[in-house]
Amino acid sequence: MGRYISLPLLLIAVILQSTVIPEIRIAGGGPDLILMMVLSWTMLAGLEEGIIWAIVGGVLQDLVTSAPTGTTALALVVVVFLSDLVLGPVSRNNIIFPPIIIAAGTAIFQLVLAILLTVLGHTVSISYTLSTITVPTLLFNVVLILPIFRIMGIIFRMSRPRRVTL
Amino acid sequence: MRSGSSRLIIFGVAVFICLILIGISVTGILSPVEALLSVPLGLLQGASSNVTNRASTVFNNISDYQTLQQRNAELEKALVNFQQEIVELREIKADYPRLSSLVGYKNEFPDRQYLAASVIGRDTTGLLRTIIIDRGTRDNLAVGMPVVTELGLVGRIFKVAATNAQVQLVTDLNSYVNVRLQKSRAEGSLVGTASGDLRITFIPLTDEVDQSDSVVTSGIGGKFPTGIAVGQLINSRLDDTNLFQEAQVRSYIDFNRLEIVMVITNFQPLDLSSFATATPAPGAVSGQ
Repeated sequence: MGRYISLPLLLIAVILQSTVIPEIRIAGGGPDLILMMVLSWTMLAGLEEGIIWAIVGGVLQDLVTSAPTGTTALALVVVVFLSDLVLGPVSRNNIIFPPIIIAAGTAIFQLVLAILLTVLGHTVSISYTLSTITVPTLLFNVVLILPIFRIMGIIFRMSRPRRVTL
Repeated sequence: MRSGSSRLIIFGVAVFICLILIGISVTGILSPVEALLSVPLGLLQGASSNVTNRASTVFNNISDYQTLQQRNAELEKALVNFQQEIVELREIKADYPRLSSLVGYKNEFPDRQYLAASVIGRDTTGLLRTIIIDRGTRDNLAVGMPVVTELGLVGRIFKVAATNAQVQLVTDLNSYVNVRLQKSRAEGSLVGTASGDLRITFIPLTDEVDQSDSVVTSGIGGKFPTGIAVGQLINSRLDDTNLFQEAQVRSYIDFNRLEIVMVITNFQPLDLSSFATATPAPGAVSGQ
């Protein structure tokens, strides 16, 4: 169920990311809904579903940007893999690890994305990206990750079949 | 709990899928699918953008009230000056047909045709400066068409689907526009900067750069029509090589608040790629 629910949720997130989020950007950075949702789901459901969410979210995001399709997906896959490697599944009531993971994940995601875009022939200033885009994005993400992790926890619980005691 | 090797296999498969996607996207094989998928996405973005713009307008109106009052006073002062200028320009305009017929001047360009489009999305990464507009191939838009507002040049279309198109803003790091300073006639290349500002590079040392000069497109390279306003010079200095001058430009447009733009639909950008494939002559310089 978790892998199928990713499409509508991430679709909504991508639409919000490209229409609402630019209105609340500070410097060049704003909250990264896709990254927060993908990492939250990885912490809740593990690597396999996290990877599916990363690919679906990344491809959808690439469809609304000028980046070649798959670029953001690859950057998300790297972050999801590292997150699962370092931490593994996390309880949905945990309030310590999600901010730490999203902080590290944001920095790694932006760095990997900037490198990928550079390799693919786009001109990207990596130092400017890290200083002006990554820092405000990281702060936004750290502040917003707990409510989003909480919401994703509720969706995660609803997506799993309930245990019935006979 | 998964073992380390199965983790690596899942990761490897995912990376492989992404690399395949990037490969076929870069080569253009995926373009029809991307165009097809972007249609419903564009519709959803349009709906969401409408709501966001309305909400944003309300908030901006409140916060901009004091600024507007101050701006209004400045504009009233400017209006007095401009009225004098209008009188002079009307005189020049009256002389123009007579003078142009005297020198045999003929306007080579037909009137520009515009198509208005709403901005329905912006770049989500922050790394690239692009917007998405709600017009596409169904409205006869094509790659390369210039995009403007009443305040000047916005950018050019570089990706087009059936019902929407992506516009590369002039502030993007990958954007190059050949421009001319209106008073001194000095020419240079307008590029975007990482911070979203505009800079003119490659202004010859011999050319005089007048502060506060207006910047317009030069038409050289055939990618943009001549004479589209771009902005105003703020300052100039020698570039790092000391062989050219460079200047900062302030656009009249607030690229973060673009809502409606106009596409010049009857302008055909020139394809100069055939020159690039010819045998290079000594001292040859590539086009725009």
